[in-house]
Amino acid sequence: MPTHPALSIGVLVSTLVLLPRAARAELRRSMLFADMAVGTHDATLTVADRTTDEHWNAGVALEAGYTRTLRAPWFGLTFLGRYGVWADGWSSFAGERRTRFDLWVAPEFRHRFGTYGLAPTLSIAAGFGPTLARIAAAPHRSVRESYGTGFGLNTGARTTLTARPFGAHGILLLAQYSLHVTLIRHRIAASTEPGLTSSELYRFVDRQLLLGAGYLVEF
Amino acid sequence: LGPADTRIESKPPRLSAGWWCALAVLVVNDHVLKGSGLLPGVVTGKLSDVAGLLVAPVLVAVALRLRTPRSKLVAVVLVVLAFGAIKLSLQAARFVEAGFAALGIPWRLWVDPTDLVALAVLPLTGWLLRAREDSRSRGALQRLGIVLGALSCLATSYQRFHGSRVLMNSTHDTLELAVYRSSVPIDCDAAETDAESSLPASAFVLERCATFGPYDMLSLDPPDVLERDDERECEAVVVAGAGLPPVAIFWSDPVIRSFERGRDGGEDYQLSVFRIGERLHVEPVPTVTLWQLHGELEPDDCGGAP
Repeated sequence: MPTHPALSIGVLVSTLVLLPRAARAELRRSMLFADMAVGTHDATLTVADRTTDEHWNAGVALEAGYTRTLRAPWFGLTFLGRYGVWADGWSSFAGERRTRFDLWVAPEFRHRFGTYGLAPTLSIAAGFGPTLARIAAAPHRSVRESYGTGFGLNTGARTTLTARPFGAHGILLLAQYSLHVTLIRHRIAASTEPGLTSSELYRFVDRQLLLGAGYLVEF
Repeated sequence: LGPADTRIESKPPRLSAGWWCALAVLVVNDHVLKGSGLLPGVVTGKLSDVAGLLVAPVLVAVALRLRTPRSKLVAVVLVVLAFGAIKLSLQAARFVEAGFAALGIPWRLWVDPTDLVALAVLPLTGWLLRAREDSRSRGALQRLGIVLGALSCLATSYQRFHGSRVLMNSTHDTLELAVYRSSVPIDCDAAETDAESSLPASAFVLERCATFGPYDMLSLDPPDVLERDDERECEAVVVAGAGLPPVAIFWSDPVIRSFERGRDGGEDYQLSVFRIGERLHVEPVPTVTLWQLHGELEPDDCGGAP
């Protein structure tokens, strides 16, 4: 037994508080989290046989998700909803506002470094899901222009580092790489030449690297 | 620094009269002098950077209420690092532009290493950061200064083009167009009345091939317009390219103006070329006469021309 009183108290607290908490943590099978991530993306736009590249653009995303442990402690399944803005040089010049909503489901593999205290956990997940995209056409253009609703797929890998300084509550740091393929109908008509119209399918392929941080709660 | 100086330096910086002067120079330069022809573009460009390096670090220090010399130095270093990055790296400039665009703030940045000469003004910036508390600088005035300074810094870097009429590339593609100009003096009065009859295809000869990227602008004036002494009363050009049937454009009042890159529409002197399916289409503005040119033009060697 420790002889120093402070050490004795520490051991007592650990025994009475942290160990049961850690034990409960082992039993917690669900986690809710929310985070914000920012980063860069490259995009390629293909229209018919024309292709345009946009490099070094910005991406911002708000995410919320749920992770369910299936094989404790190392394996689970993550469901994620992501709302993001994908601006590129062209859209910022034109004044287009591009947003999208992703759903994502992924098996997640975890490794927990230690059982007590912060219990930092490294997770790696890779999955896919559907994407819903909206583009608000630029105002003030001298042509009549509109976009339909865009549909697509997103896939990617995501790694998170979580820590639980507040018991069941904690923080997470994340890095994720994702690939989006989005199809969206673009319609344009000349203002001064009646009959000159076009309706084309735009295909955006963009690759995004995001870094972020968020908050989690286990139950 | 002596004890008295330390006491002064430990107070949050104020927006001094010198700072307000720098802000005035920034605003006047960006919104009056640029494009006015009163000063060369290279002068207004550098003046903008000099004034910006006086305004921005102090603005950061005041907005964040930085008190110690070290924290003020950090503010200066951060501004200088950001300034250096966007002046040296296209990727950094694009990244900052796109980041602001994601927030709904359009910002244009020039990548030009020669702009780093403006760093010579930093000793003056340091002097502005040492400004004593000024009883006349009330809180409301400080807040007004912060807002005005932030707006001025954001508005300072629009890329500008000059011409009496410009054609903006509103497509996603880099375009290569052939520009033809009248080889004989134009009878402006006759063209004003009936441009299509006065300016047949045979009147135009190839002047240049022009390549310009998405949201770049192409001046429709002669390339040497700024050096020419002759008084022009009107101008006429033909532009043609792959997907763009020859389009003739005639206009009077060819006064050189300044245009901001990326400002689409709402300009009486700025035409735009759009892609509509496989075709390119030039959308006219009220200050020009535009028509599809019939007749044979001189063949050209421009890569994108038909």
